Order: sequence, then C-alpha cells, then structure tokens
Amino acid sequence: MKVKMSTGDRIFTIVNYTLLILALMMVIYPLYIIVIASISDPYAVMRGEVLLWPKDISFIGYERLLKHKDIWIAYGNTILYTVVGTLLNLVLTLMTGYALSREFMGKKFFNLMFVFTMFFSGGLIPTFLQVKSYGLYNNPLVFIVMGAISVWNVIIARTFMKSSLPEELYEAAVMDGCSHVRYFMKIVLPLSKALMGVLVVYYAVAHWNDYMTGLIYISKRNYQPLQVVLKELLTSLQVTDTMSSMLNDVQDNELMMRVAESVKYCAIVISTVPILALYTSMQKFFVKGVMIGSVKG
Amino acid sequence: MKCKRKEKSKMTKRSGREWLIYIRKRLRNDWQIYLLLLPAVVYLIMFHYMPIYGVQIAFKNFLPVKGIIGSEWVGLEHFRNFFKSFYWKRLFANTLLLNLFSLLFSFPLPIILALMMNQVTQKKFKGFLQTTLCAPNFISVVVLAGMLYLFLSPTNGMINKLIEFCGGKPVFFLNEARWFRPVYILSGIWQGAGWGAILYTAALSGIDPQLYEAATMDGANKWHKIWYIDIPGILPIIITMLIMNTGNLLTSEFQKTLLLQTPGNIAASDTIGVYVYTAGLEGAQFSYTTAIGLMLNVINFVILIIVNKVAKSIDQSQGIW
Amino acid sequence: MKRKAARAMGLVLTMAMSVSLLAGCGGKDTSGAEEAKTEVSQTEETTPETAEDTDEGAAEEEAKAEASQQTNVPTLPLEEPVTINVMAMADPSVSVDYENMAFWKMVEEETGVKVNWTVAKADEFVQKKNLMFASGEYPDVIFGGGISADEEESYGVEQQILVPVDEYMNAESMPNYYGLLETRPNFMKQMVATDGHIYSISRAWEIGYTSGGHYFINKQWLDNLGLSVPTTMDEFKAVLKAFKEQDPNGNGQADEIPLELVLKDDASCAVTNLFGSFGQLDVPGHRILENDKVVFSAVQEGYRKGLEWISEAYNEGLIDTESFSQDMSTYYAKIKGGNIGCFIGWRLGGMAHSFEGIEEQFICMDPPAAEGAEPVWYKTEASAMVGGAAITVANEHVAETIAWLDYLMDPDIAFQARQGNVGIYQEIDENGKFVMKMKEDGTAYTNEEINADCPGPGGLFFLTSDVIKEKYSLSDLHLEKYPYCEQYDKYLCAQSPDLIDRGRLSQEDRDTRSRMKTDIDKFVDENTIRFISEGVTDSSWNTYLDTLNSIGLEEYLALCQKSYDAFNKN
Repeated sequence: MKVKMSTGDRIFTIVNYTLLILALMMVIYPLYIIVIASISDPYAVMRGEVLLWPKDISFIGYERLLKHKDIWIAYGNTILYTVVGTLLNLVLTLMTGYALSREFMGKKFFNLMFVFTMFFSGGLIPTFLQVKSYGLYNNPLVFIVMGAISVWNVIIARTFMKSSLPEELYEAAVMDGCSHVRYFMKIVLPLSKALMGVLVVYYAVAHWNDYMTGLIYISKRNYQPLQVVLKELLTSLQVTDTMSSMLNDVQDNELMMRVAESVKYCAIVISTVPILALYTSMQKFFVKGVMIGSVKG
Repeated sequence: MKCKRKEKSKMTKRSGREWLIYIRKRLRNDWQIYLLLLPAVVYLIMFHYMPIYGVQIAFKNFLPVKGIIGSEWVGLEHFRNFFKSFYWKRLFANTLLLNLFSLLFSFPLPIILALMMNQVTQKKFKGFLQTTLCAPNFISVVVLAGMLYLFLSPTNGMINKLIEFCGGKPVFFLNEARWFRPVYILSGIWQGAGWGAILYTAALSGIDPQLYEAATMDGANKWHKIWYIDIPGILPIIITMLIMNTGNLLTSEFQKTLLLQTPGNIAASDTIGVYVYTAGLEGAQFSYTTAIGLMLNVINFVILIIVNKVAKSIDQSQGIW
Repeated sequence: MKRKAARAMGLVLTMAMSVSLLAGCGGKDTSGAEEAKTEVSQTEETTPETAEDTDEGAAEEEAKAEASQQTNVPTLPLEEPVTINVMAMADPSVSVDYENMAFWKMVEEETGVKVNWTVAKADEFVQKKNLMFASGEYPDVIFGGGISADEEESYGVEQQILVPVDEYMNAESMPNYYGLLETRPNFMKQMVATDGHIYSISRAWEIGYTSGGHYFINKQWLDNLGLSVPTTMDEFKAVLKAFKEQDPNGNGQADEIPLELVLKDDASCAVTNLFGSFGQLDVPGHRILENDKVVFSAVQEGYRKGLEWISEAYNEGLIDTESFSQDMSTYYAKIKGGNIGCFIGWRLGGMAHSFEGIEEQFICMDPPAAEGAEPVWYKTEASAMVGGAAITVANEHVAETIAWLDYLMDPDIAFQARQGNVGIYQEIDENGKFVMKMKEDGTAYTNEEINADCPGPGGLFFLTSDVIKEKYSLSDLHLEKYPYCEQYDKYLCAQSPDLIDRGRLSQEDRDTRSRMKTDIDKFVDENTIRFISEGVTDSSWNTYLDTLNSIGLEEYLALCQKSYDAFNKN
C-alpha cells in the first residue's frame, strides 16, 4: 500500500524527523550527562570535559555516597513506604472503583462526595492540624495513610470497570446468585490486570517521589524518605552541612568541593534509576491508562 | 448518562418475575457495596472533610491550647491583615503570572508534539519516542530542582560554561528574578511535554483512517491532512484541556517554587503557595495563612464553576462534570 | 545526727580533695584527673550544706530547709530514674547526636535523669518548635536557648504552655543557679515577664568578647603580591582587584574569590558589618540604637554609600557571585575551600569554616575606612539570655527536672558541657582550673572530636566572668579572639542593638511588630540584593525610601522603641 511521496511530503517528513530527534536529544542529553558525570573524575567534570563520554572513570562519588548512612536509611524508608503504600492504594482504589461503577442507592451522593474533594480542600494548614491530631505527626504511618486513595485514580478505576467489563457479565453473575464481593474477587480483579498495572505505576511513582509529606509531617531524621534527604544534598548551591559531614575526612579542601559535586550526580542516579526502570517495564499500559483517565467521570 | 439509558431499555425487556428477582437480589447485595466503599469514605472524611471543617480557624484566632472550637472568633481580621500587608498584590500577581505564562508556553507544545509523532510511521521508533519523551515526567521535583542547580550554577554549571565559551558573562539564573519564570516554565516543559502529548496521541489514534484515505484520493499532502483532519479531530479534547487549565490559573503549587526559590529571585518566586507554607508552617501563623489559603480556594472554585458553565454553553458534551 | 555526719563527711572530703590535688601536683600519674573529677562531684553535693554552716543561729530555718529538701528537692542521682523528653537547639558547629555524647552519658549516670532528645540546628529548630507549640504535644523541656522573650509572653503568659519557674529560683531548689544569679542582680529584672513570673532559666557566658565579627584578610596572598593591608575602602578594592587578577595563589588560573560575603543570619558574619566602614552601623534586621533611640540603618546615607561600593565591587567580580543567595553553611564551606581573599567571621580556629593552616593564612584586619567616614562596629552585649531552658505543662517530673537543670548549672559541669568531659578531653590542673587534655599520642583533640561529645554553646550555663576567671583556663581558641576584640574596641558603637527586643510588649503590639518586621525585612533584603546587582540611582533609592515609608516604617520603629523603653526602664 505504498504510495509515492510528493516532494513536499518528503521535505515535511525530513523536517518532522529532524525536529523529533532534536526533541529526543533534548530530553535524553541532560539525563545522559548526569550518568556520565557520575562516573567521571570530578576534576574533568569541573573543567567541562565530560560532554559525550565519561572521562577518567572514577567511582569516588559513589564511594562517598555509600558511606553516607542517612541516604541509605532514607532509601530503605522510601522502599518500605512505596511497597506498603502502593499495596494499600491498590486494594482501596479497586474496591472503591468497583463500588462506584455499580448502581446502588445513594450513588449520586457518594460520587459527589468523591469529586468535591478534587475541587475544594481544607488547605495546607487545616489539613496539617487535623492530621497532627490523629497522632500522625512524626509517625511513619503518615506516608501510608495520607493519600491512601487518590480520587483521580478511583475515577480511572471506575471508568475502566464500567467500560471494559460488559454489563451482561454482571447481570449473569447476579442471576447465578453471585454477591458483589464474590463478583469483585472472582471476575473483576482477574479482568483488571491492565488497570492494576497503571495504578501500580501511578501510585508507586507518587510514593517514591513524595517530598511534601516528609517535609511537613516528619521531623525525625530516621523516618525521612529519600526525597527529603536528596533535597538537602542537591538544592544547595555548593556544599551542604550534611555533605561536609560526609566529606570531612577529605583533607584537600578543593578536592572536597569537587567530590561534593560528584556526589550530587551520583545521588540523582541512584534515586532516579529505580523509578525509571519501573516505568519502562510498565510503559505499555500507559496510553491505555491515560485514555481511561481522560474519559470524564 | 449513556449507561443508564442502556439499562432502562434492558429493564423493559425483562419479564415481571425476572425483574422482581433482580430487585431483591440487588437490594440484598447492596450492603456489600457500602462495605466496599466504607474505607474510602472514612478516609475522605478524615483527610478531606475534617480539614474542610477546620477551615473555620480562618475566622478565629487559633490557639493550639484552646483547640479549633475553643479559639475565639475574630471575623475577617486575618483577611484584612492580609490586604493591609505590603506584599499581597505581588503574591497574587506572581501566582497568576507564573500560571499564565506556564499555560501560554506549555499548553501548545504537547499538541504539536503529538501531531508530529502521529506522522511517524515506523512503529518501533514511535514507541521509543513516546517512552523516552515521557520519562522525565517520572523524575521527582527534588531531583529536577537538583539538576537545575547543577546545570545552572554560575561557577561550574554547564550552561554557564557554554555562555563563557561563547564569550558571554555567566548568568546566575537561579538568583535573578527575571530568570525565575523562564527556568520554571522551561524545566516544566522538559518534564511534562512528552507526558502531556500522550493524551492527544491517544485521541489522534481514534481518528477514522478512512478520512486519510479519502484525503489522499483528493491529493492532499501531509500538511493538509494535519490541518484539515488531525486538528479538527482532536479539537474537542484541546478545548477541554484548555478549559481545565484555565480553571487552574490561580492555584498555587508550592513544591517546585519553594525548591527553586533563592533570596535573589524572590521578587518573582514569592507565590501564595510558598507564602502559606513559609508563614504558616514555619512561622506558625496558622489562622492567618489558613485565611489566605481559603480565599484562593474559593476564588479557584468560582473560576472553575464559571469556566465549566462557559464550556457547556459552547458545547453540551464539554465541561468537566 | 545524720546531718552532722554528713557535714563531717563533707569536711573530710574537702580535705581529701586538697590532699589529692597536692598529690596530683607532685606525682605525674594520669589517673589523678580521674580522681579529681569524682571528688569534684562529691564536694558539689556538700557545698550547699557547708554554706549553711556559717549561719549557726538560724537553726529553725535550717530545719525548715531540711524539711523542704526532703519533700520537694530530689537528691541526685535519683533513686528512681525518670525519663524526660527534651527538645534542644544545637549550636551550628556541634553534632546533633546528643544521645551518644559522652557528656550527656555522664549526666545521665550522675543524675538518674534519662533524656529523650529531639535536637535540631537554628532554622530547622525554629520550624520544629513552632509546629510543636501548634500540635499540643509538648516536650517536657525546651533546651538550648530556643525560647525568646516574645515566646515567653505568648506561650507562657497567654497560653500557659510554659510553666513559671520563679518558685524554684531559690537556694534550696536551685542552689547552683541561684547562687550565680545572686551575683548579677540586674539580670533578674530582664527575665520577668509582664505577669510578674519568670518562664525560663537564663544563660550567661561572660567571656568578655566585645565584638562579634572581624575582617580576615589573606596575608599569604598579600605577601605573594607584595601588597600591604588596606586601610581605606579604595585600597581595599584595589587589593581585591589584585587578588582577582594577579593570581595570588599561583596556580595559573583566575579561580580566586577575592571577597566572600553572606547576606544575613548571623550578625557576626553578615554583610551588614561592611556598612560600618561607611560610618553606618548595621545589623541583620537593620535596627540600631543611637542615644536610646531606635533608628533604622538601611535608610541612612551611609547605607547607600555602602551599597554603592559593594555594587561596584560585585559587578567587577570582586565578590563571590553567590554571596547574596547562599546560607551560612555554604558560606562556611566556601571559606573552608581555602581559595578566599577576605571574609568576615567570628575567629579563625575551631569554626565550621576552619581548615588546617587557616591561622597562618589569614590575619585580622581593621575595618577599612571610606572617605570621610569613621568606621563603626557592632558591639555585642553580654548579659543574661532568657530561654536557656523552659519547662512545659507536659512535664510530670518538674522537681526532678529542676534538679537536673541545676545540676547542669554547676560551673564544674557547665565547663564540661562546653569543652568535653573531665578525664577525656579536659583535666583539672593544680590551680583547680579546667585545662584541655592531650590525646595519648600527644596531639590535641580536634574540634570535630570535641564537638561530637559535648553540646558546646548549646548547653546550659550561667558562667559569670568571675567563675570563668577562677576555674577556666581559656583554650587557645578562646584566647585567639581577645586580640581581635581589642583591635576592634575603638570602633565599637555606643549602644548595642542587641538590647532592642529585650523589652516586653502586649500581644497586639507583638503581633503587629512581627507582621511588619516580616514585610520590612523582606523588602530591605530584596532591595539590597537588587541595589547590589544593579547599582543605586537617585530615583531607585528614593522609590525605595518612599516604599519603606508606605509599608509603615515609622509605626514599626515606634513599636520597637516601645519595647526598648520598657526594657530600659528596668
């Protein structure tokens, strides 16, 4: 079915591809340079010699980072919060999504109750005071309980169940005397694998990248998630307090400043690789997920 | 709406006996629905509706020892104090301008990107494009800020090295108010454009292929097809997205702004969201900042309702609810 | 009978101690210090009683005191250990890991009071403290100087979260603290809140420093380039220029940072000091005292001249680009990087910015004078600092806590809190003075090592100049600063701005003042940065002044004046 392209179309195609490849480079290059800078000699990075290939391969940044206890505690915390939190999210979202996809008395009311929270919230301070009064301040449970359900994801789940599970299936099951819970467990869940894939990535990414909860609700260092520790490491102009304690055995001060830079690159790599890996492995679900979400509630 | 109609038509087809059994079964089963809903409802009440109840401290002089109910009423004093303060205009302006410029520059890009990707015929390349362009969306805001600090540093940053190489003077991007919005918005585009494009890509894939064939018969080139088929095809979704984004003009995200705020760029980076966080949580002015937050919330809510009305008046099927 | 026996014991112990000290004098054994340490703590227990000895006639009183001692005042170490939650503000140079500090381990052992620590440094502490007060979950004690007079008013007088401590400020409950306080009668007045109560234990550290920061200039670089120490601002600029252009560090690269500055935070390092060269005293917050009047420095002509100089230097690349956006820790780290020509700091050694050889590299320089101006310099005010420790209503062991706090107030303990445990880091010499100990291998302990084991300036102490003279042999670090202070004495301002916020105001006034302060400080900081990067013109300066007036500068200053007057009346 090949049709010969006109000259105009050919030019169009060439321009189009060029622009897209350019866009591709613009996205990839900053990420790439962080990776190569993290394994290059800090001096070479400073001199701006690390542009295309790593130079004078050195793992000094990673070595330093390995010694930094704080970041590994935080790393462990984040993994824990992400795994447990996502599991809870998944269970609750599927349950709620299913319930809202059925007809029952008061459905309109419950729908409104959910949707209203998307448009109006108590705001930062009242939420903080309330959560605090539940005893969740400085309590790692807050990472799991806060945001246990995202209303947006509930809508995705509801839409999915409504649109991809035929109504006849449910009616037949009801005729057979199947209860909601049974139907949900035996039929809905097995048929919702794609949905679960989307939800897992959405929720896991949200947990992994969650910076605000730690910032606001946790003051004990041992409970802090990765993002909070990363913030201390990354967003100062040069060497932070945390960092100088990590580096204070380096005698040469100039070297210390250089290594500090290197540590930042390494920290970005180790904190971002897991989440990008999860995303790539699950990415086939995405277009579908976004599509479901865009169908309005 | 559609679902209900379908159901009704089915109901009429049922015989009386079946109908009765159906109703009885459903009622008997309904309690399980409530059971399934229960955790979510409890969660909503605890974490969304109780804080909304707590909003009353905006009209009180909240003292922790007295609690929300016990604190004395002060009426609109906190609102008056806000408007008496020197910075309220700037807070509003910064919040609005940041959102407005974001909308202006980051809204069209995903659409263009989706249209361009739609022209790619090699499936593998298309998949790779999509996967890669979406990846930045999964990078945390902290890491993004960290990358900006690294790349834009006036002494070691790559961008400034490049400027110096070209003979320019290094620019301290993160410490100059006039650079704050460009940095914020461009980094936002880098992170979000690919992800934003997915939506339009999906919509484009729903366009009837026969339209293209017919156009080819008529001798249309690619440009024509984009202009006369693709864009009209995704226009409804563009409009919906535009409306939704307009409704966000005064919302105030605070994480990225806070992370990119430095003493030098504060003239542009001081937004309501950051202000509520710093004055409220760090400065413990709970009632005062709750009042500011509430005000913004109400304004946004009103904007949203208006926007939704407008959307519906243009086209009944539009609008968010 | 028991009492007499105790007295006798006390005498014996005192004698034993002097004997052992004599022995320590003659002998060279290292265990001497260990012994001395235990004896010190024993004599402590006996001192109050021996003091009462002199008052033979007041037997009745004595009996009363004895009774109260048995009922109210717990003896340390406690028979039944208690646990208290303490929230503490740590000094920037010290570790926040209080649990593992040798000093606190010793205190726990000797008092039987176990502490659950929540420790943070400056900014982070302020945030945590605010949240804590808002949450209703209070620690038992707030420690380390984290409570201001304003907070005593609002959390003590008005909300009654803090417990008044005045009823414990007597010779029975707090013998150490009260004894020291008696030597400083005027301090007491500053501590009293508007309701007549006292809500915190104060601290004092009368080491006799008169100024906070000093200029330090890189002597090595000066010598390398054959330059002399600048005395005027013009010369200063010329020197900085030479630092930038003539490669004083000799590495062939123009990587030197001639002048490192920091915008605010700490009055002793901030850029505000620089305005002194233009005859205009300035401190963070910009309020200064002139003849008992509160004056705003950042609107004076000298401030503008200073801005012009800084702006020129900044735009010529003589000042680090990041100077006005960095925080203290970055500032320190940069100096530590060792490539700086000049900076303003507290002293050279033992700071967060110190590195090996810093003392050889830098010398203290007099503030250079601008044309036609007499340099002035910020004078620090030594007096009681309220808020050293405060007790909250959550505390169920107030008596024990008071005993614990008073234990810490004992100069012998307080010195250890500042410099490390006796037996590890310090020892007591033949004159009964604390001196630093050497390591086994003969080298001195590094500051990092000491700072990991004691709270340093974050502890609780009421060390008057007499006590310091009597018991403390100042370490080299302390001695380092005296000559700098002497050098700067002639520039000191007449009245220290430290005194302005010491007076107490009503809640309404306080709220208004703090709201205005936020706006005004923000505005001045922002414009200072802008003036520095863009330069000052007549019109931009006038707009700046007009805007400040429209924000309500006058009203703000009037409130500050009110507070100062209230303080001054005492």
